[in-house]
Amino acid sequence: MSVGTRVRVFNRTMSVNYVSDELVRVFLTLANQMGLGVDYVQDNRRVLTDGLRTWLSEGSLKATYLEVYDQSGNLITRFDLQIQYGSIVEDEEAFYSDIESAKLAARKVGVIPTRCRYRIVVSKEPWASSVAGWSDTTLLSTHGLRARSVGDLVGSPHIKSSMSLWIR
Amino acid sequence: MIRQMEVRRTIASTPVRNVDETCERLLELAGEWGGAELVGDLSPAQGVLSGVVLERAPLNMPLIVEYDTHFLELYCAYETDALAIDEEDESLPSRIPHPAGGDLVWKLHVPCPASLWKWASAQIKTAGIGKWCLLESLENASRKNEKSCTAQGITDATLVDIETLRAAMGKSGNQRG
Repeated sequence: MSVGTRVRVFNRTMSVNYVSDELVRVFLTLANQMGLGVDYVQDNRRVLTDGLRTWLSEGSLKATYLEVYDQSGNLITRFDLQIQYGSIVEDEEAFYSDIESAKLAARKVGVIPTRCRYRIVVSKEPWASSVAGWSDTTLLSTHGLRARSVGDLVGSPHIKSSMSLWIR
Repeated sequence: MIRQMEVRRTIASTPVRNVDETCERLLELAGEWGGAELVGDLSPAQGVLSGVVLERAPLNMPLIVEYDTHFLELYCAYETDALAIDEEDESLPSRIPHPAGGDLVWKLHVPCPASLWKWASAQIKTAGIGKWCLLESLENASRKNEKSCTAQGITDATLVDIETLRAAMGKSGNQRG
């Protein structure tokens, strides 16, 4: 078997592939670290990735949120992943994800009360395409919580995402 | 068991392919190796496959398609390594020989991290594919490798970097004749 040394040319599809998959991987990491289970993310993975890929491709995705809430519907914590679109960077190291920072951020939340659940919410431009499996909603109130910046988490030549965290 | 035929390939995952395209390619390669009907046979495992591929389990531990003494080991490369893979390197040799008559019994060994074990086990049970879709623990494989190295007397202290060795030989004046 010959070893190939050809390096592929970057294109926007690669950035969309990478960022959409890594965002889901971040969700899994956060859920796992907080002891909330991965079922929600894995069972809805196809719907999540279909939405993320569609909106990232058309540049309409603004942010994704992982909300953790108690049985009364009160927000316990929230992870915001803001999306930024940029110009082409001809650098193969431009594909990166900082899963360790996501784990550290999840640990900062502390102990999650039992029977808490979580959900994924996105904000997008008004002209964004509709994607099956997603429905309209509003974010839970962040009253009583403070926002803290975590930093750049996922990067690619055309799209990157930075995280902030809402905690008490 | 004597492995009569072992084929190993690494395919490019993200960013070249998204997780679903990666799983499709893995099944496609399995079909090229074991026959088109294998793609249909293995497709109920696609949900589990997508989960472990997303979590990069096939980076260090292969997905293994097993038939009798024939083994196909499939790894996934990510990020920079994925960009460096030539598609031609992913192609397989000709199909494995199938015996005349009889049922084909396949097994699929899926590398799985601890974080996904409970979910993946439930998926396999729900899909009714537990007889041939087997989870393999990433953590146990890692521990086995460590034990193997220790049993052979291989420790970090005995692993020498070639460049370091050459530099040391150069400094001491020892040259190859």
